[in-house]
Amino acid sequence: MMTSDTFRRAEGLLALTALVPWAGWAHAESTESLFYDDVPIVLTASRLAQSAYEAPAPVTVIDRELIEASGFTELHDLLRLVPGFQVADWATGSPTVANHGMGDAYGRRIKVLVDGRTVNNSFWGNVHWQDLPLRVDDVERVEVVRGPNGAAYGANAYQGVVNFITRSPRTESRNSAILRAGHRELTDIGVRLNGGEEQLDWRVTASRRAAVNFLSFDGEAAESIERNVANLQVLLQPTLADEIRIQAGSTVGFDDTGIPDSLTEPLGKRRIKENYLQLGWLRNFGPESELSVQFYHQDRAERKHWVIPAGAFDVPVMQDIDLQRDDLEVQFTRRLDDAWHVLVGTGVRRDATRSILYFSSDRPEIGVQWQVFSSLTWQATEHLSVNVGGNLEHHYYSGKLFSPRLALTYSLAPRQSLRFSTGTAYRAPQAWEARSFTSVSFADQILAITYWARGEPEPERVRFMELGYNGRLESLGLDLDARAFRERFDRYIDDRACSFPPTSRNIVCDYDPPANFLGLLGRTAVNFVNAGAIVVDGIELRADWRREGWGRVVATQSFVNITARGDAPQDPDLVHSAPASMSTLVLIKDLTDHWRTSVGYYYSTEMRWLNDGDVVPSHGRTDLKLARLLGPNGRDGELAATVQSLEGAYADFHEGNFRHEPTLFATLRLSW
Amino acid sequence: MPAPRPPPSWRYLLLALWLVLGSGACLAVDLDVWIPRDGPLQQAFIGTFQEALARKGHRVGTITDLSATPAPALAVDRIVVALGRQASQQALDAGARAVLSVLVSRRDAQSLVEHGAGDRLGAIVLDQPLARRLAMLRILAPEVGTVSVLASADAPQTDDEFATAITAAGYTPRLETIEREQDIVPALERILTPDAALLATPDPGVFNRDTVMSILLTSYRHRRPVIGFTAAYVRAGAVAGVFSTPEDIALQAAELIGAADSNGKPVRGIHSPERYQVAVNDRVSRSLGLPEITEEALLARLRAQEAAR
Repeated sequence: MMTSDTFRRAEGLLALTALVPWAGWAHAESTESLFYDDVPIVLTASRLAQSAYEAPAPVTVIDRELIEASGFTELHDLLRLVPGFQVADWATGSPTVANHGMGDAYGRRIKVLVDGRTVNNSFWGNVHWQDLPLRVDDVERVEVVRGPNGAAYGANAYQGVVNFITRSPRTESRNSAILRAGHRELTDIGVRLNGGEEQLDWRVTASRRAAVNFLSFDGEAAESIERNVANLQVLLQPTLADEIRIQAGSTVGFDDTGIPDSLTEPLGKRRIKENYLQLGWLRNFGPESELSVQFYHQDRAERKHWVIPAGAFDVPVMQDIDLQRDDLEVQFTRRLDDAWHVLVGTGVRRDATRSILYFSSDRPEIGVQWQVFSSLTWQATEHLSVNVGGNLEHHYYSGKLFSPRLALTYSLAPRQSLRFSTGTAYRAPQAWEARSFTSVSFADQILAITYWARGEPEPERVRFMELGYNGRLESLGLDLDARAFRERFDRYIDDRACSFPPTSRNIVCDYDPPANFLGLLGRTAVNFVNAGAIVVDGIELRADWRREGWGRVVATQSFVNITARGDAPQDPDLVHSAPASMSTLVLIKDLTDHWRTSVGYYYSTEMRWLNDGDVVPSHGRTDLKLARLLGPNGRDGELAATVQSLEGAYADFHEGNFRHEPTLFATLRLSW
Repeated sequence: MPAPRPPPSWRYLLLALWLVLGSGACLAVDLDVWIPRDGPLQQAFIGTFQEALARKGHRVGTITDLSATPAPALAVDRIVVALGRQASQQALDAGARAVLSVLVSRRDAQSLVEHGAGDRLGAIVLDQPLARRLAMLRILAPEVGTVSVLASADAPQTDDEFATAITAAGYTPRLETIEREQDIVPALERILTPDAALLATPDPGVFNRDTVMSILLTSYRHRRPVIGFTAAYVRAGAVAGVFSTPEDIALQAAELIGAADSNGKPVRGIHSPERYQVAVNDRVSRSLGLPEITEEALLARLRAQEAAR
């Protein structure tokens, strides 16, 4: 736990960082690097098409070079590179991600998009990272807003927004094949094909991977997975002003997981299928004036069946869930003059969730929500920019919500700015928290209830303010990003377990069970209530230094201090739900023209994941990658060896239940 | 405007005398190489440079890695081949008799000259001559009639220099100067006329890591070709580029040193690269409907045209 003294010192450090007169160093002393530097493939994806220096929110960009150097092969792992982000995995569910606290097994407080398509599911609210029809090889860059951003993206952009930008078929001209193999049955084979003629560019990718993610630890669950992924992207430019984008993808696979002799999580395969179709049209009217229309459909099906022996009867359990989302969004941006830039948009979404197990009904749970959003940027003076944004929506559980933001950006020099922003954002309860009624029944009699959402909790709310600095010191080859923030969370939605009498447990439900409740398999039910308020104070620092011919170093540091607000009873682990200190260091070193090595080090102090999670002690993890670039220009592929967690096995979600084992694998990528 | 050539000084005369009278053995003693750090580019230059010098019977005296030598020895009465602006400046500051600056931009070389180093400085810059770049454009995209240039206060050439070169190559110049990066896209929309090509330049105020992709995508949307100035630009979406590798520059540097040795020709002034390579982005070229041409054919035609002039 970081002491308050440490915290104050860290705040002082940030203040110093902000006050150093970087402005005088702004202009490059030499321009030869223009001839040597690689050019990043950058596509703007935020609603507000602004650089990090002008953005009204703290943004971290993970670029292609960093993605490749990290050695990560799974999408969620990339977020380990973001200051303050906590990433964990567990054996019987999807990996989970949180941003400085409040994380549990179902990370649902960060909105995750792929090319603007929201991929958080409507039941748990989390992201099934390993099931997305998207591979790390498809990602051009990841844009991460490291704080609430409801003003741009509405409810559930609560602790941050992650936008995966896929590689544009226009910027890829080579085909490639990839083969990856490692110990513990890791196999990964994939192919990427590109093509195009005049107004049309396309790309098709397909891959199949399998791995043992967890060995059984202390009698707990193991997990092995298999995923088959295919996706397609087509770009059409029928006229000079129009662009049409068609994307589609599918994942089919299974998790082989469970706990021996468990009634609720028995050993077996959970089969998974995800599909999406995304259509976009962009019309350009002139300088900084665009209309975009986007529609997508996505669906997901999970299947796992088993039988619970109940005396003389066998009770079949079907852990099936079907999700569907259809979403339409229209957005218009226009620069009115040199000083004013406006963005307006609206969207409507339909979510359908069907699960006999979780709702005790085969009737789909359907919710329709709409939103209107706007952002107005005013260049008040040569140096000062004012951004006012807001999102008004009608959520199917929480009703009308308005998420505003005010941001002031002061330009100290070209590519250097100070930012102050403040606002409010919300997280609406998910279907699980608002509608679930999970029961085991036989002959119309309820044998057990687990989740019973008896009412709709109010949406969680965060009010935030932050002060940040973004700057590039050309002469040093250094990018700096620093900020201090305070976020005041309230109405935290927590689960509350109680037992129906007769029971020996000391927490007795103050509501009656259903009339047909027998409780032969269990008498404890879990409800959801607003129960918690905390203040999160933090500091984040990121330095990105590169020198031609030498390599690159990216270092991040975050300090977080969580305090409880008020005296109302709440989960005591909430204030320990983020590490007081987290550090990352990625070093990319060019050894020669054809050899490159990279080292990633990820450290965090002790913290506690909430609910299904538990204590995670202080730990560090070191990854190492050594790559031989192939071909005369290093463009024909690479042969690489990667080791993850040189230190050995470690826990990142529940010290008593799950251990990540070190992983060693080799990668061969060939391009032609 | 190019900087006026400074008058010869006694140091230059001494250098010329030394170069005329000197021998390979003398060069082996007095020619040093200063590098800002030991990286692949520097290694590529040094390897080729030493090889080429050896063929002429010369050799490099010492190689100084400035990143490992914070306070390099005084270089009075030495000839230093310095890689990059920083090393060049340090060699000049250390009193080197003559400095051949390589792997520098024209802008940096001019800046060194303007700061009084003209009598001791020669430079081989990385910027390709505008005429060469425009000749390549003519081969690649014969239908282009206008060459558009977006410039900032940091542009390597003046508007007049751009306009003169573009006109001389038979194109209509279309120039815009911007003051802020936010002005780039609106300015592009104005200058990307239906018959235009965009000439990217090593101008950090316009073409940098933050701006390049919006420039490339805006140009692509207008279906207008961009001529890059590095291979990286071509990979990123420019239709083609002409550039010199460190090995190309090293060969030219060795020739310059050798020529000075044999006939006293000065190692002074700003020299454009004589050896070069080309890169073509076939995907973009096809998408824009340009005639198909291989990199080898393009390079051969370009060299043949230059040889014929």
